[in-house]
Amino acid sequence: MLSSLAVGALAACRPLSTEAPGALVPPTANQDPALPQLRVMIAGYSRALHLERFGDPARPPLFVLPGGPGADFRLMLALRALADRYFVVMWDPRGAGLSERVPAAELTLDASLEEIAAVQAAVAPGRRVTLVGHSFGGRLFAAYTARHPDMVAQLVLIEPGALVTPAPRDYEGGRFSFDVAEDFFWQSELLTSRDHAAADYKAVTAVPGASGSFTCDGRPPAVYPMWRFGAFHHHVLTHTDHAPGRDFAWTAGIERFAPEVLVVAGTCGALRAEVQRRYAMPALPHARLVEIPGAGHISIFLDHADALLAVLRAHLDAYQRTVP
Amino acid sequence: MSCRPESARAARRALAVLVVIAASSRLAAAQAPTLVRPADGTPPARGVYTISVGVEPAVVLTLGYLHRVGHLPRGSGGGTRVGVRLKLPTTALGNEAWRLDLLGTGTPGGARDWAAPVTGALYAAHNRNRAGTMLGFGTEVRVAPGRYGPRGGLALDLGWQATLRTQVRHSAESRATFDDRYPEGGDRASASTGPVDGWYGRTASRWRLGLAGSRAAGGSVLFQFAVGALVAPQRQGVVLGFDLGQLPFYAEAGAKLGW
Repeated sequence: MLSSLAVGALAACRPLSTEAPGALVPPTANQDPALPQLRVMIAGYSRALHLERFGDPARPPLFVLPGGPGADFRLMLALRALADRYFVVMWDPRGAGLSERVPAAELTLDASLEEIAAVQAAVAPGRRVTLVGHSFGGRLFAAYTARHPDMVAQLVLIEPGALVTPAPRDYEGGRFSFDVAEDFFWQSELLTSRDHAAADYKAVTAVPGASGSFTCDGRPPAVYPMWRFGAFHHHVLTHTDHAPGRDFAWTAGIERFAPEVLVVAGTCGALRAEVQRRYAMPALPHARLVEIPGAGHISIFLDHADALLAVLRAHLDAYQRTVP
Repeated sequence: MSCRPESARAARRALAVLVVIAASSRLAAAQAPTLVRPADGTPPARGVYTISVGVEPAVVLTLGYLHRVGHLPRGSGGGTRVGVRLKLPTTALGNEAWRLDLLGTGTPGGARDWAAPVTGALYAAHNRNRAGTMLGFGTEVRVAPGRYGPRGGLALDLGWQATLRTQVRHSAESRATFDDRYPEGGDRASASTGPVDGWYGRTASRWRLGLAGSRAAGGSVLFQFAVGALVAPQRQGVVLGFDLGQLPFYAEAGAKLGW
Protein backbone atom coordinates (compact mmCIF):
# COMPACT_ATOMS: atom_id res chain seq x y z
CA MET A 1 0.00 0.00 0.00
CA LEU A 2 2.85 2.35 0.89
CA SER A 3 4.52 1.74 -2.45
CA SER A 4 1.27 2.52 -4.25
CA LEU A 5 0.97 5.72 -2.24
CA ALA A 6 4.59 6.54 -3.05
CA VAL A 7 4.21 6.09 -6.77
CA GLY A 8 1.00 8.06 -6.69
CA ALA A 9 2.59 10.86 -4.71
CA LEU A 10 5.63 10.98 -6.98
CA ALA A 11 3.73 10.88 -10.20
CA ALA A 12 0.26 12.27 -9.94
CA CYS A 13 0.35 15.92 -9.09
CA ARG A 14 2.42 19.04 -9.09
CA PRO A 15 3.65 19.58 -5.54
CA LEU A 16 3.72 22.69 -3.39
CA SER A 17 6.98 24.46 -2.66
CA THR A 18 8.12 24.90 0.91
CA GLU A 19 9.25 28.38 -0.10
CA ALA A 20 5.86 29.53 -1.36
CA PRO A 21 4.92 32.50 0.85
CA GLY A 22 2.33 31.45 3.41
CA ALA A 23 2.58 27.72 2.70
CA LEU A 24 4.44 26.46 5.77
CA VAL A 25 4.89 29.64 7.78
CA PRO A 26 3.36 33.13 7.63
CA PRO A 27 4.83 35.35 4.92
CA THR A 28 7.19 38.14 5.84
CA ALA A 29 6.46 41.85 5.51
CA ASN A 30 8.12 42.14 2.10
CA GLN A 31 5.95 39.23 0.89
CA ASP A 32 2.67 40.39 2.44
CA PRO A 33 1.72 44.05 1.95
CA ALA A 34 -1.26 43.64 4.26
CA LEU A 35 1.05 43.25 7.26
CA PRO A 36 1.71 46.39 9.32
CA GLN A 37 5.20 47.40 8.37
CA LEU A 38 7.86 50.03 7.99
CA ARG A 39 10.55 50.16 5.36
CA VAL A 40 13.90 51.39 6.66
CA MET A 41 17.40 51.74 5.26
CA ILE A 42 19.90 49.78 7.34
CA ALA A 43 23.48 48.80 6.53
CA GLY A 44 22.94 50.20 3.06
CA TYR A 45 19.84 48.11 2.28
CA SER A 46 16.16 48.96 2.24
CA ARG A 47 14.34 46.36 4.34
CA ALA A 48 10.73 45.80 5.40
CA LEU A 49 10.20 45.55 9.14
CA HIS A 50 7.08 43.98 10.55
CA LEU A 51 6.11 46.89 12.79
CA GLU A 52 2.86 47.83 14.46
CA ARG A 53 1.83 51.04 16.15
CA PHE A 54 -0.67 51.27 19.01
CA GLY A 55 -2.18 54.44 20.44
CA ASP A 56 -1.96 58.13 19.78
CA PRO A 57 1.31 59.16 18.08
CA ALA A 58 1.20 62.38 20.11
CA ARG A 59 1.80 60.43 23.33
CA PRO A 60 5.31 59.61 24.54
CA PRO A 61 6.81 56.93 22.26
CA LEU A 62 7.50 53.51 23.79
CA PHE A 63 9.34 50.83 21.83
CA VAL A 64 8.96 47.11 22.49
CA LEU A 65 11.57 44.67 21.20
CA PRO A 66 11.40 40.87 21.45
CA GLY A 67 14.26 38.50 22.15
CA GLY A 68 15.42 35.20 20.78
CA PRO A 69 17.34 36.30 18.87
CA GLY A 70 14.86 35.46 16.16
CA ALA A 71 11.57 35.87 18.02
CA ASP A 72 8.63 38.08 17.10
CA PHE A 73 6.65 40.46 19.27
CA ARG A 74 3.50 38.33 19.46
CA LEU A 75 4.47 37.06 22.89
CA MET A 76 4.64 40.67 24.09
CA LEU A 77 1.27 41.83 22.77
CA ALA A 78 -0.03 42.24 26.32
CA LEU A 79 2.05 45.41 26.43
CA ARG A 80 -0.41 46.97 23.96
CA ALA A 81 -2.30 47.98 27.09
CA LEU A 82 0.32 50.68 27.64
CA ALA A 83 -1.11 52.47 24.61
CA ASP A 84 -3.51 54.29 26.94
CA ARG A 85 -0.55 56.43 28.05
CA TYR A 86 2.06 55.83 25.36
CA PHE A 87 2.45 55.61 21.62
CA VAL A 88 3.51 51.96 21.60
CA VAL A 89 5.61 50.66 18.71
CA MET A 90 6.52 46.97 18.44
CA TRP A 91 8.58 45.36 15.72
CA ASP A 92 10.43 42.24 14.72
CA PRO A 93 14.13 42.78 13.93
CA ARG A 94 15.29 42.17 10.38
CA GLY A 95 15.51 38.46 9.72
CA ALA A 96 13.32 37.66 12.73
CA GLY A 97 9.59 37.14 13.17
CA LEU A 98 7.68 38.49 10.20
CA SER A 99 10.34 40.97 9.12
CA GLU A 100 12.19 40.57 5.86
CA ARG A 101 14.86 37.89 5.76
CA VAL A 102 18.37 39.24 5.22
CA PRO A 103 21.79 37.74 4.58
CA ALA A 104 24.26 37.15 7.38
CA ALA A 105 26.32 40.19 6.40
CA GLU A 106 23.46 42.44 7.53
CA LEU A 107 23.02 40.71 10.87
CA THR A 108 25.61 42.42 13.01
CA LEU A 109 25.25 44.07 16.37
CA ASP A 110 26.05 47.46 14.84
CA ALA A 111 23.32 46.94 12.25
CA SER A 112 20.89 45.95 15.00
CA LEU A 113 21.57 49.21 16.82
CA GLU A 114 21.33 51.09 13.53
CA GLU A 115 17.91 49.49 13.08
CA ILE A 116 16.67 50.87 16.41
CA ALA A 117 17.90 54.33 15.42
CA ALA A 118 16.20 54.02 12.03
CA VAL A 119 12.88 53.11 13.64
CA GLN A 120 13.21 55.99 16.06
CA ALA A 121 13.97 58.40 13.23
CA ALA A 122 10.96 57.14 11.28
CA VAL A 123 8.23 56.95 13.93
CA ALA A 124 9.42 59.33 16.66
CA PRO A 125 11.77 61.80 14.96
CA GLY A 126 13.51 64.12 17.37
CA ARG A 127 11.84 62.56 20.41
CA ARG A 128 13.31 60.56 23.24
CA VAL A 129 11.83 57.08 23.55
CA THR A 130 11.03 54.67 26.32
CA LEU A 131 12.51 51.26 25.59
CA VAL A 132 11.07 47.96 26.84
CA GLY A 133 13.13 44.99 25.76
CA HIS A 134 12.78 41.31 26.50
CA SER A 135 15.65 38.84 26.71
CA PHE A 136 18.01 39.48 23.77
CA GLY A 137 15.89 42.53 22.94
CA GLY A 138 16.72 43.82 26.41
CA ARG A 139 20.40 43.42 25.70
CA LEU A 140 20.03 45.37 22.46
CA PHE A 141 18.09 48.16 24.14
CA ALA A 142 20.69 48.33 26.91
CA ALA A 143 23.46 48.63 24.32
CA TYR A 144 21.48 51.27 22.41
CA THR A 145 20.93 53.28 25.60
CA ALA A 146 24.62 53.04 26.46
CA ARG A 147 25.57 54.42 23.06
CA HIS A 148 22.80 57.01 22.77
CA PRO A 149 21.77 57.99 26.31
CA ASP A 150 20.41 61.30 25.13
CA MET A 151 17.92 59.59 22.79
CA VAL A 152 16.32 57.44 25.48
CA ALA A 153 13.80 58.56 28.09
CA GLN A 154 13.42 55.32 30.08
CA LEU A 155 14.82 51.83 29.91
CA VAL A 156 12.99 48.71 31.04
CA LEU A 157 14.57 45.29 30.70
CA ILE A 158 12.40 42.22 31.12
CA GLU A 159 14.60 39.22 31.96
CA PRO A 160 17.48 40.39 29.77
CA GLY A 161 20.34 38.11 28.90
CA ALA A 162 23.52 38.56 30.90
CA LEU A 163 24.94 42.09 30.75
CA VAL A 164 28.12 41.66 32.77
CA THR A 165 31.51 41.23 31.13
CA PRO A 166 32.58 38.54 30.66
CA ALA A 167 29.24 36.83 30.29
CA PRO A 168 28.83 33.71 32.42
CA ARG A 169 29.52 30.28 30.99
CA ASP A 170 26.84 28.56 33.01
CA TYR A 171 23.82 29.96 31.19
CA GLU A 172 21.24 27.20 30.96
CA GLY A 173 18.49 28.80 28.95
CA GLY A 174 17.11 27.54 25.67
CA ARG A 175 18.67 24.10 25.78
CA PHE A 176 17.04 21.24 23.92
CA SER A 177 15.98 18.23 25.88
CA PHE A 178 17.02 14.93 24.32
CA ASP A 179 13.53 14.24 22.99
CA VAL A 180 13.21 17.68 21.42
CA ALA A 181 16.63 17.36 19.82
CA GLU A 182 15.80 13.88 18.58
CA ASP A 183 12.59 15.11 16.97
CA PHE A 184 14.41 18.12 15.54
CA PHE A 185 17.05 15.98 13.85
CA TRP A 186 14.71 13.19 12.80
CA GLN A 187 12.72 15.73 10.78
CA SER A 188 15.67 15.88 8.37
CA GLU A 189 14.40 12.60 6.94
CA LEU A 190 11.41 14.60 5.74
CA LEU A 191 12.34 18.26 5.78
CA THR A 192 15.84 19.71 5.77
CA SER A 193 16.47 23.35 6.68
CA ARG A 194 17.46 24.25 3.16
CA ASP A 195 15.66 27.61 3.09
CA HIS A 196 14.27 30.15 5.54
CA ALA A 197 10.71 28.82 5.47
CA ALA A 198 11.69 25.22 6.15
CA ALA A 199 14.07 26.21 8.94
CA ASP A 200 11.50 28.54 10.52
CA TYR A 201 8.80 25.87 10.29
CA LYS A 202 10.86 23.52 12.42
CA ALA A 203 10.95 26.21 15.08
CA VAL A 204 7.19 25.81 15.64
CA THR A 205 8.16 22.71 17.58
CA ALA A 206 11.74 23.45 18.54
CA VAL A 207 11.30 26.87 20.16
CA PRO A 208 8.61 25.88 22.67
CA GLY A 209 10.46 22.60 23.13
CA ALA A 210 13.63 24.44 24.06
CA SER A 211 11.80 26.67 26.53
CA GLY A 212 11.49 24.17 29.34
CA SER A 213 14.46 25.83 31.00
CA PHE A 214 12.42 29.03 31.28
CA THR A 215 9.46 27.60 33.19
CA CYS A 216 8.83 26.75 36.82
CA ASP A 217 8.36 23.03 36.29
CA GLY A 218 11.01 22.53 33.61
CA ARG A 219 8.45 21.51 31.02
CA PRO A 220 7.90 23.34 27.73
CA PRO A 221 5.08 25.86 27.98
CA ALA A 222 1.70 24.57 26.85
CA VAL A 223 1.04 27.84 25.04
CA TYR A 224 3.72 29.79 23.22
CA PRO A 225 2.29 32.60 21.10
CA MET A 226 4.47 33.28 18.08
CA TRP A 227 4.08 33.94 14.40
CA ARG A 228 7.42 32.88 13.01
CA PHE A 229 10.87 32.38 14.43
CA GLY A 230 13.87 33.54 12.43
CA ALA A 231 16.06 30.45 12.65
CA PHE A 232 18.83 31.82 10.46
CA HIS A 233 18.80 35.14 12.34
CA HIS A 234 19.17 33.16 15.56
CA HIS A 235 22.00 31.10 14.12
CA VAL A 236 23.97 34.12 12.90
CA LEU A 237 23.64 36.07 16.14
CA THR A 238 24.45 33.15 18.40
CA HIS A 239 26.79 30.80 16.55
CA THR A 240 28.86 32.81 14.10
CA ASP A 241 31.48 35.53 14.19
CA HIS A 242 28.60 38.02 14.25
CA ALA A 243 27.52 36.83 17.68
CA PRO A 244 28.58 39.16 20.48
CA GLY A 245 31.22 37.28 22.40
CA ARG A 246 31.38 36.73 26.13
CA ASP A 247 33.62 39.79 26.42
CA PHE A 248 31.29 42.13 24.63
CA ALA A 249 30.55 45.17 26.80
CA TRP A 250 26.79 45.58 26.43
CA THR A 251 26.48 48.50 28.80
CA ALA A 252 29.75 50.38 28.29
CA GLY A 253 28.82 54.05 28.70
CA ILE A 254 25.42 53.48 30.31
CA GLU A 255 26.52 55.44 33.36
CA ARG A 256 25.78 58.52 31.23
CA PHE A 257 22.11 57.54 31.29
CA ALA A 258 20.67 59.21 34.39
CA PRO A 259 17.16 57.75 34.83
CA GLU A 260 16.71 54.62 36.87
CA VAL A 261 16.71 51.44 34.80
CA LEU A 262 13.99 48.95 35.68
CA VAL A 263 14.77 45.25 35.47
CA VAL A 264 11.77 42.93 35.79
CA ALA A 265 12.15 39.21 36.32
CA GLY A 266 10.16 36.24 37.44
CA THR A 267 11.29 33.72 40.00
CA CYS A 268 11.44 30.71 37.67
CA GLY A 269 13.75 29.62 34.89
CA ALA A 270 17.19 30.39 33.56
CA LEU A 271 16.83 34.17 33.62
CA ARG A 272 14.95 34.52 36.90
CA ALA A 273 15.54 37.34 39.39
CA GLU A 274 18.36 35.53 41.15
CA VAL A 275 20.25 35.30 37.85
CA GLN A 276 19.57 38.96 37.09
CA ARG A 277 21.11 39.94 40.42
CA ARG A 278 24.32 38.19 39.45
CA TYR A 279 24.59 38.85 35.75
CA ALA A 280 22.59 41.99 34.89
CA MET A 281 22.39 44.28 37.87
CA PRO A 282 26.17 44.70 38.35
CA ALA A 283 26.36 46.15 34.82
CA LEU A 284 23.62 48.72 35.48
CA PRO A 285 24.70 51.45 37.91
CA HIS A 286 21.26 53.00 38.35
CA ALA A 287 18.93 50.06 38.30
CA ARG A 288 16.17 48.49 40.34
CA LEU A 289 15.08 44.87 40.16
CA VAL A 290 11.44 43.94 40.63
CA GLU A 291 10.41 40.31 40.98
CA ILE A 292 7.15 38.81 39.83
CA PRO A 293 6.64 35.68 41.93
CA GLY A 294 5.86 32.51 39.99
CA ALA A 295 6.62 34.01 36.59
CA GLY A 296 9.01 32.58 34.03
CA HIS A 297 10.56 33.95 30.86
CA ILE A 298 7.49 33.19 28.74
CA SER A 299 4.67 33.15 31.26
CA ILE A 300 5.55 36.64 32.45
CA PHE A 301 3.65 37.91 29.38
CA LEU A 302 0.82 35.40 29.65
CA ASP A 303 -0.30 34.19 33.07
CA HIS A 304 1.44 37.11 34.79
CA ALA A 305 0.65 39.87 32.31
CA ASP A 306 -1.44 41.86 34.78
CA ALA A 307 1.32 41.83 37.37
CA LEU A 308 3.86 42.81 34.74
CA LEU A 309 1.73 45.68 33.50
CA ALA A 310 1.22 46.91 37.06
CA VAL A 311 4.98 46.97 37.63
CA LEU A 312 5.59 48.76 34.34
CA ARG A 313 2.87 51.33 34.92
CA ALA A 314 4.12 52.12 38.39
CA HIS A 315 7.63 52.69 37.11
CA LEU A 316 6.71 54.56 33.94
CA ASP A 317 4.12 56.75 35.61
CA ALA A 318 6.55 57.75 38.34
CA TYR A 319 8.95 58.91 35.67
CA GLN A 320 6.25 60.72 33.67
CA ARG A 321 5.35 62.75 36.75
CA THR A 322 8.89 64.10 36.85
CA VAL A 323 8.82 65.21 33.21
CA PRO A 324 7.73 68.81 32.79
CA MET B 1 -1.40 20.07 -4.31
CA SER B 2 -2.70 20.82 -7.78
CA CYS B 3 -3.23 17.98 -10.26
CA ARG B 4 -2.37 19.01 -13.80
CA PRO B 5 -2.09 17.29 -17.20
CA GLU B 6 1.65 17.85 -17.22
CA SER B 7 1.89 15.42 -14.34
CA ALA B 8 2.41 12.73 -16.98
CA ARG B 9 5.96 14.03 -17.32
CA ALA B 10 6.43 13.74 -13.56
CA ALA B 11 5.07 10.21 -13.75
CA ARG B 12 7.65 9.27 -16.37
CA ARG B 13 10.36 10.78 -14.19
CA ALA B 14 9.20 8.79 -11.17
CA LEU B 15 9.08 5.63 -13.24
CA ALA B 16 12.64 6.28 -14.41
CA VAL B 17 13.78 6.52 -10.79
CA LEU B 18 12.17 3.19 -10.05
CA VAL B 19 13.75 1.58 -13.10
CA VAL B 20 17.22 2.84 -12.17
CA ILE B 21 16.89 1.47 -8.66
CA ALA B 22 15.52 -1.81 -9.87
CA ALA B 23 18.33 -2.06 -12.40
CA SER B 24 20.96 -1.40 -9.77
CA SER B 25 19.55 -4.20 -7.69
CA ARG B 26 19.70 -6.60 -10.67
CA LEU B 27 23.36 -6.03 -11.34
CA ALA B 28 25.49 -9.12 -10.84
CA ALA B 29 26.84 -10.29 -8.51
CA ALA B 30 29.19 -10.32 -5.47
CA GLN B 31 28.26 -9.70 -1.89
CA ALA B 32 26.60 -6.37 -1.44
CA PRO B 33 26.51 -4.31 0.63
CA THR B 34 27.96 -6.48 3.35
CA LEU B 35 31.55 -5.40 2.74
CA VAL B 36 33.04 -8.84 2.67
CA ARG B 37 33.88 -11.37 -0.02
CA PRO B 38 33.20 -14.91 1.14
CA ALA B 39 35.82 -17.55 0.35
CA ASP B 40 35.35 -19.18 -3.02
CA GLY B 41 32.82 -21.92 -2.96
CA THR B 42 31.08 -20.69 0.13
CA PRO B 43 27.41 -20.47 -0.70
CA PRO B 44 25.91 -17.22 0.50
CA ALA B 45 22.92 -17.39 2.75
CA ARG B 46 19.59 -16.81 1.14
CA GLY B 47 18.39 -14.56 3.93
CA VAL B 48 20.38 -11.86 5.77
CA TYR B 49 19.18 -10.08 8.87
CA THR B 50 20.66 -6.71 9.79
CA ILE B 51 20.61 -4.63 12.92
CA SER B 52 22.41 -1.38 13.56
CA VAL B 53 22.45 1.64 15.81
CA GLY B 54 23.28 5.00 14.32
CA VAL B 55 23.60 8.68 15.03
CA GLU B 56 22.50 10.78 12.04
CA PRO B 57 22.51 12.89 14.28
CA ALA B 58 19.16 11.52 15.45
CA VAL B 59 19.77 8.32 17.37
CA VAL B 60 18.25 5.51 15.34
CA LEU B 61 17.79 1.76 15.46
CA THR B 62 17.64 0.04 12.10
CA LEU B 63 16.36 -3.47 11.48
CA GLY B 64 16.42 -5.12 8.08
CA TYR B 65 16.07 -8.27 6.07
CA LEU B 66 17.61 -8.95 2.65
CA HIS B 67 16.69 -11.91 0.50
CA ARG B 68 18.83 -13.29 -2.31
CA VAL B 69 16.97 -13.47 -5.57
CA GLY B 70 17.66 -14.60 -9.11
CA HIS B 71 20.58 -16.48 -10.61
CA LEU B 72 23.79 -16.69 -8.56
CA PRO B 73 26.86 -16.39 -10.85
CA ARG B 74 29.84 -18.67 -10.22
CA GLY B 75 32.25 -17.26 -7.68
CA SER B 76 29.93 -14.54 -6.62
CA GLY B 77 29.17 -13.55 -3.05
CA GLY B 78 25.69 -12.61 -1.97
CA GLY B 79 24.14 -12.01 -5.38
CA THR B 80 21.31 -9.63 -5.91
CA ARG B 81 19.14 -9.08 -2.91
CA VAL B 82 15.93 -7.31 -2.17
CA GLY B 83 14.51 -6.56 1.21
CA VAL B 84 13.03 -4.22 3.71
CA ARG B 85 14.49 -2.03 6.40
CA LEU B 86 12.84 -0.24 9.29
CA LYS B 87 14.52 2.75 10.88
CA LEU B 88 13.25 4.00 14.23
CA PRO B 89 14.41 7.02 16.25
CA THR B 90 14.01 7.12 20.01
CA THR B 91 10.84 9.17 19.49
CA ALA B 92 9.25 6.36 17.48
CA LEU B 93 6.45 5.73 19.92
CA GLY B 94 5.73 9.26 21.09
CA ASN B 95 5.93 10.91 17.69
CA GLU B 96 4.93 8.05 15.39
CA ALA B 97 8.37 8.46 13.85
CA TRP B 98 9.59 5.78 11.47
CA ARG B 99 11.10 5.15 8.08
CA LEU B 100 10.41 2.05 6.03
CA ASP B 101 12.66 1.17 3.09
CA LEU B 102 12.23 -1.17 0.17
CA LEU B 103 15.78 -2.16 -0.75
CA GLY B 104 17.67 -3.55 -3.67
CA THR B 105 21.39 -4.36 -3.50
CA GLY B 106 23.95 -5.54 -5.98
CA THR B 107 27.59 -5.16 -7.01
CA PRO B 108 28.27 -4.03 -10.55
CA GLY B 109 31.58 -5.28 -11.98
CA GLY B 110 34.87 -4.76 -10.17
CA ALA B 111 38.11 -6.69 -9.89
CA ARG B 112 38.40 -9.70 -7.60
CA ASP B 113 39.10 -7.80 -4.37
CA TRP B 114 37.76 -4.45 -5.42
CA ALA B 115 34.09 -3.76 -5.78
CA ALA B 116 31.47 -1.07 -5.48
CA PRO B 117 28.34 -2.48 -3.89
CA VAL B 118 25.24 -0.41 -4.55
CA THR B 119 22.17 -0.16 -2.39
CA GLY B 120 19.07 1.56 -3.70
CA ALA B 121 16.05 2.27 -1.59
CA LEU B 122 12.60 3.68 -1.91
CA TYR B 123 11.36 4.82 1.44
CA ALA B 124 8.41 6.18 3.31
CA ALA B 125 9.04 8.25 6.43
CA HIS B 126 6.70 9.65 9.03
CA ASN B 127 6.76 12.05 11.94
CA ARG B 128 4.26 13.83 14.14
CA ASN B 129 5.08 16.70 16.46
CA ARG B 130 3.80 20.01 17.77
CA ALA B 131 3.77 21.51 14.27
CA GLY B 132 1.89 18.75 12.53
CA THR B 133 2.19 15.43 10.76
CA MET B 134 4.49 14.63 7.87
CA LEU B 135 4.47 11.58 5.62
CA GLY B 136 7.16 11.57 2.96
CA PHE B 137 8.37 9.39 0.14
CA GLY B 138 11.88 9.42 -1.15
CA THR B 139 14.82 7.57 -2.50
CA GLU B 140 18.32 6.84 -1.28
CA VAL B 141 21.32 5.45 -3.08
CA ARG B 142 24.50 4.34 -1.34
CA VAL B 143 27.65 3.08 -3.00
CA ALA B 144 30.61 1.59 -1.13
CA PRO B 145 33.63 1.33 -3.44
CA GLY B 146 36.48 -0.39 -1.68
CA ARG B 147 38.52 -3.48 -1.04
CA TYR B 148 36.81 -6.61 0.16
CA GLY B 149 38.40 -9.74 1.49
CA PRO B 150 37.04 -12.93 3.03
CA ARG B 151 37.46 -11.64 6.58
CA GLY B 152 36.35 -8.05 6.10
CA GLY B 153 36.54 -4.94 4.03
CA LEU B 154 37.19 -1.24 3.97
CA ALA B 155 35.42 1.16 1.66
CA LEU B 156 34.21 4.65 1.05
CA ASP B 157 30.58 5.18 1.95
CA LEU B 158 28.95 7.50 -0.58
CA GLY B 159 25.28 8.31 -0.50
CA TRP B 160 22.50 10.58 -1.60
CA GLN B 161 19.04 10.81 -0.12
CA ALA B 162 16.09 12.86 -1.31
CA THR B 163 12.58 13.06 0.05
CA LEU B 164 10.71 13.86 -3.12
CA ARG B 165 7.17 14.28 -1.86
CA THR B 166 5.97 15.01 1.65
CA GLN B 167 2.42 15.35 2.79
CA VAL B 168 2.19 17.98 5.51
CA ARG B 169 -0.84 18.24 7.75
CA HIS B 170 -0.54 21.21 10.04
CA SER B 171 -1.52 21.09 13.69
CA ALA B 172 -3.79 23.60 15.38
CA GLU B 173 -0.68 25.18 16.88
CA SER B 174 0.89 25.59 13.47
CA ARG B 175 -2.33 27.11 12.14
CA ALA B 176 -2.39 29.50 15.07
CA THR B 177 0.88 31.04 13.89
CA PHE B 178 -1.22 32.71 11.18
CA ASP B 179 -3.65 34.33 13.65
CA ASP B 180 -3.63 37.92 14.89
CA ARG B 181 -1.21 39.24 12.29
CA TYR B 182 -3.32 42.02 10.89
CA PRO B 183 -4.47 45.17 12.70
CA GLU B 184 -8.20 45.51 13.21
CA GLY B 185 -9.72 47.57 10.46
CA GLY B 186 -6.66 47.27 8.22
CA ASP B 187 -6.75 46.59 4.51
CA ARG B 188 -6.78 42.82 4.16
CA ALA B 189 -7.32 42.64 0.42
CA SER B 190 -3.94 40.97 0.00
CA ALA B 191 -3.96 39.20 3.35
CA SER B 192 -2.59 35.68 3.38
CA THR B 193 -4.27 32.69 4.91
CA GLY B 194 -2.67 29.46 5.78
CA PRO B 195 -0.78 27.31 6.38
CA VAL B 196 -1.40 24.98 3.46
CA ASP B 197 -1.92 21.27 3.96
CA GLY B 198 -0.85 19.13 1.02
CA TRP B 199 1.98 17.50 -0.84
CA TYR B 200 5.27 19.38 -0.90
CA GLY B 201 8.03 18.61 -3.36
CA ARG B 202 11.73 17.95 -2.73
CA THR B 203 11.52 18.67 0.97
CA ALA B 204 14.77 17.04 2.01
CA SER B 205 18.09 16.05 0.56
CA ARG B 206 21.31 14.89 2.17
CA TRP B 207 24.69 13.76 0.92
CA ARG B 208 26.86 11.24 2.64
CA LEU B 209 30.63 10.82 2.49
CA GLY B 210 32.21 8.45 4.92
CA LEU B 211 34.30 5.42 5.59
CA ALA B 212 32.83 1.99 6.12
CA GLY B 213 34.44 -1.17 7.37
CA SER B 214 33.50 -4.69 8.27
CA ARG B 215 34.90 -7.68 10.10
CA ALA B 216 33.64 -11.23 9.91
CA ALA B 217 33.11 -13.18 13.09
CA GLY B 218 32.62 -16.82 12.32
CA GLY B 219 30.73 -17.97 9.30
CA SER B 220 27.49 -16.13 9.67
CA VAL B 221 28.06 -12.93 11.60
CA LEU B 222 29.54 -9.77 10.17
CA PHE B 223 30.16 -6.61 12.16
CA GLN B 224 30.07 -3.34 10.27
CA PHE B 225 30.63 0.33 10.98
CA ALA B 226 30.46 3.55 9.04
CA VAL B 227 31.34 7.09 10.02
CA GLY B 228 31.55 10.32 8.11
CA ALA B 229 29.82 13.48 6.96
CA LEU B 230 26.08 13.75 6.34
CA VAL B 231 25.41 17.12 4.79
CA ALA B 232 22.11 18.78 3.91
CA PRO B 233 22.49 21.59 1.35
CA GLN B 234 21.38 24.90 2.84
CA ARG B 235 20.57 27.99 0.80
CA GLN B 236 22.36 30.38 3.15
CA GLY B 237 25.44 28.20 3.10
CA VAL B 238 25.23 26.91 6.67
CA VAL B 239 26.94 23.55 6.95
CA LEU B 240 27.30 23.40 10.71
CA GLY B 241 24.53 24.90 12.81
CA PHE B 242 22.73 23.09 15.59
CA ASP B 243 19.85 25.59 15.56
CA LEU B 244 19.24 24.84 11.88
CA GLY B 245 19.44 21.10 12.39
CA GLN B 246 22.77 21.11 10.57
CA LEU B 247 25.05 18.71 12.40
CA PRO B 248 26.88 17.18 9.45
CA PHE B 249 28.03 13.84 10.73
CA TYR B 250 26.83 10.31 11.09
CA ALA B 251 28.06 7.14 12.68
CA GLU B 252 26.57 3.70 12.64
CA ALA B 253 27.55 0.31 13.88
CA GLY B 254 25.78 -2.95 13.41
CA ALA B 255 25.81 -6.57 12.50
CA LYS B 256 24.58 -8.84 9.75
CA LEU B 257 23.50 -12.33 10.45
CA GLY B 258 23.58 -15.04 7.83
CA TRP B 259 25.88 -13.35 5.32
